[in-house]
Amino acid sequence: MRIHMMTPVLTTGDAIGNYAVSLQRVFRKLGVSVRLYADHIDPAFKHDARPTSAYRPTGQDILYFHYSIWSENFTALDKSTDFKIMDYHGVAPPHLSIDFDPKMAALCQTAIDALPKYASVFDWCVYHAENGRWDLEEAGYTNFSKVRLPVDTAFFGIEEDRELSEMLSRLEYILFVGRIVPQKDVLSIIRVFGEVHKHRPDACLFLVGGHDVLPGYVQQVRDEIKRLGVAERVRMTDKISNRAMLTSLYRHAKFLVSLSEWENCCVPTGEAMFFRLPVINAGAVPLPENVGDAGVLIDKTDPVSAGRMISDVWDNASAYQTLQENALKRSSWFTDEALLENVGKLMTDLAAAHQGQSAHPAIEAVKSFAPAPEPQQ
Amino acid sequence: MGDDIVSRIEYDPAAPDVESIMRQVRAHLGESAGRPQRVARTGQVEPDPRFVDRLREAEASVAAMVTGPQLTPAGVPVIGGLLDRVRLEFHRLVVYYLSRFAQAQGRFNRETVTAVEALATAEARVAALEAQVASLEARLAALEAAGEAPAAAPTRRG
Repeated sequence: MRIHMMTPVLTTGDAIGNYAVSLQRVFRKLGVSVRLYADHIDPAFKHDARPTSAYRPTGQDILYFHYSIWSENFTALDKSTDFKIMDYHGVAPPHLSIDFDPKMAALCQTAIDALPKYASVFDWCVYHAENGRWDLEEAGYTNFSKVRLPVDTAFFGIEEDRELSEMLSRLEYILFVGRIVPQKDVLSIIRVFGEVHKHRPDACLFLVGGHDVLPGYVQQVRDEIKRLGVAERVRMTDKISNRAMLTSLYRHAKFLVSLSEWENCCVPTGEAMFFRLPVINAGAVPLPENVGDAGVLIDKTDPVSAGRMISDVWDNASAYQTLQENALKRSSWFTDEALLENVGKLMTDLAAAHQGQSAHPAIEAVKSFAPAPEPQQ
Repeated sequence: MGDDIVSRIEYDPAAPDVESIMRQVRAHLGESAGRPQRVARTGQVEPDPRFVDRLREAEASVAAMVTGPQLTPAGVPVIGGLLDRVRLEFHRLVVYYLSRFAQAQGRFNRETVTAVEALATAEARVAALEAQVASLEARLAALEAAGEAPAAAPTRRG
């Protein structure tokens, strides 16, 4: 039995792509062979993945389908006779991109409309945070397992960019990691930072993420930075794939900020926990679940109050230390070990759900791979 | 901290000049952004390009495995033309089955090349990791010799 893992795009710096590679690694540890497929494959992945058109269902395997946007690979899904598992990443609301990229908005809308229709197609679902499960239940899905998105701890934490670290260690800054797109509400981040800047003139803000997706929105962000007079304190770095640089940026930051209008899992918040970095957030799901008591909860519609609150926490060493300790406790949720445990549980769930009944041939094979369930007490 | 790094960084130790530091950070990130990425986010390291070239040549050689029929005329008077036509049809039949074999061999070759490339990449990554471990061991030895305890967790500013 083999797992055929399918995603629309495999590219560097993409959370779903990184997660697919991590899953492949973990399934292999459990003795299961995994092939990766994508409609669009970055050259960095050319040794690891095949085009979707190379997929051949056998009726004996598992098709593991990452669901996040409508794509050409749905054709392969429709024709498959393999056991079908959906890994649900949520679909970005179309209204967030309609003004800047109508085509992307249309693909998102199609994926949202199709979700209930595929309830009778997928045999099992994986979700990453409780808000994902709510979407699936509303669409009529009934079989689930939860797998938190991991932090690639093999990527972080060993080497820093020493020259960059020396510079960053002399700054006090807030870090944002993500694409400069409306979904991330970077405009609110700028406005809140503008208020923080009034209390702490030397504070800086780094926006680490690609800004080639929606140039119109990026220009709005630049205009707002200029309007608030913080251009000398804000740096838009573009996507950074250099792991030593990213490690340095995380390690020396004071806070991570995430004020997204919508997230399915928000991988940078898991990375922040790994670095004991408190997260400024507006309470949108899944931040309360991911970050909880390791975060500073603000009202982003009231930047004045938000700026004052952030500055107060910044000055309160005891409160800040508590946030760091809480982040450290949460960091174990996002490790490779946690992913291995969750994937093992997924296989146990599949085996248990089909116990004592004739199952798809792939599930019969899963029963031999699945770890033994924990004894009931 | 290495003397080479300190000498490149311009700042007043008494009062951090934020504008100056931000300019230097911008310059540093700008310089490095264009550098080829040796180790991508997935930890993948590229194998020796000459090795990859040889694999690609092997893969491309499949295209030359089967050519069309190549006949020299029989050179027999009167029935030579008829003989040549019969021989041509026979050669075409042989070429047809050889082409099917070549296609199957080509698929096998492509899968094998991909697998070997992956092995080469893994080997290159192991070599990179070994070098990294050696570097870290040297740093640890230097720290221990200086009497400093190594940090057990990622360090953070409080």
